[in-house]
Amino acid sequence: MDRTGRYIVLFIVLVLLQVLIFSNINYLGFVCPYIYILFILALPFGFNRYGSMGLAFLLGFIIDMFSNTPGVHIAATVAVAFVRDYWMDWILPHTDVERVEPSLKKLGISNYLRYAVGLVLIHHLILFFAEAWSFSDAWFTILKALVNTVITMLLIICYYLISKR
Amino acid sequence: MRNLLNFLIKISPLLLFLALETVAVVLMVQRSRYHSYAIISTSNVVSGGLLEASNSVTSYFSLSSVNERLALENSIVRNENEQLKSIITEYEDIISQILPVDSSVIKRDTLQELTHIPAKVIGNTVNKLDNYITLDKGAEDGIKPDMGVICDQGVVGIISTVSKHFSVVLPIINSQSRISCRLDSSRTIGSIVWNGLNPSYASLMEIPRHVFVTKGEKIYTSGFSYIFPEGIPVGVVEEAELKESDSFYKIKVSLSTSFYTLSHVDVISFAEKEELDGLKSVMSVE
Repeated sequence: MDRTGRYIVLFIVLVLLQVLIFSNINYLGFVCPYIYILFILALPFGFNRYGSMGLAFLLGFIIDMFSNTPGVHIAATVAVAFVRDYWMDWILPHTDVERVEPSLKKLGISNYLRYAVGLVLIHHLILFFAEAWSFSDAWFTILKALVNTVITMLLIICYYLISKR
Repeated sequence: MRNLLNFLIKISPLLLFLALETVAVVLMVQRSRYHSYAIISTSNVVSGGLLEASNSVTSYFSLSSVNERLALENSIVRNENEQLKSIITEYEDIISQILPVDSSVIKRDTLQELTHIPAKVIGNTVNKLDNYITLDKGAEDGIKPDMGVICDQGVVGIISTVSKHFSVVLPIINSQSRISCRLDSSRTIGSIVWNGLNPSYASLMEIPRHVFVTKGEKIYTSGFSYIFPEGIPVGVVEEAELKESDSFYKIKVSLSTSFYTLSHVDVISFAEKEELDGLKSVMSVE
């Protein structure tokens, strides 16, 4: 399968996993991993920025549609797509990354974690603050974002342990 | 001019980013008017259809416990029906003794005040701040916004968005929800709101300090609006706190509906609701 086909499959699989399984996890009332953001993380470095933001908008729109949260997932996902390139330059400045598809195996565990944890945290922070729509319980919202970042990261690592790439 | 063009090209990703975020923020601001979006919700054909398909598989897992509950509810309703029937025949006898007319004239004239529309839950969240429930019935089945939704355990919520074949419920466990209810003993009216933390508990607001509240007291719907009939269970008082300086109680309520295991619900349709709504709109115009 060529690269585009693989990304289309990844997109569909992640949306289905998110809306059918992970959005229905209700452990302790606030644990809810958002694994779908892996799609934006997995886009090749140097990928057209308009393209990645457009895809992020589409992805956020679909997730919003399934969770009755208009705009919330769009805001978080588009922000990650926008920040990703700057983040990459800042975190891994000297690696030759042109057109590389970032994955656990290609970047190595420590580089990949540095790359992914920050972006997932940005996504979750924007997401939970947009959902709360206030700063009144800020510490609780931050705690929620931190806990769910850990869980989302564990799931992303699991994904790479299962997949061949 | 060329410098300006170059500058614009250089910052164009930023401009696109800002444009997309603006769209997102506009959508977020509009969500507080919860009737206004039908496309970005689980009541649309794509998401509703997928949830329904997924539910047709997953619903088999809870089938036995659901059956048990339905059978139990059935027997309760059947007993109630028998009691009501015997009461009605008793009254008919009395009436026919008093009045020399045919009693069927009196009986046939009564209008059914409310109808229950049974629906199946195909999508349900409990872990968000604003939770929603998706039902497999929509406008074609007679569901309209602002109808009440109950289950065998008690109150579930109020219909917010309706499409042709699906509808979305704003349950008690949504931070925008506010349902009027009354305390069992004193019949004081308050409203139930949810603080966003635990889907098993909510708070009862606006109960003044002169009222005597006991732990374990039951809370029912008030029946003051044409959304819920009177006397549907909402919950039980878990904790009632009254500080010296406060004029209202802080009451923690254990909700009677378990939102984790919701599967079959009833939507309540009042015959007179449209008449009342029409009256209200006439009043607001004048």
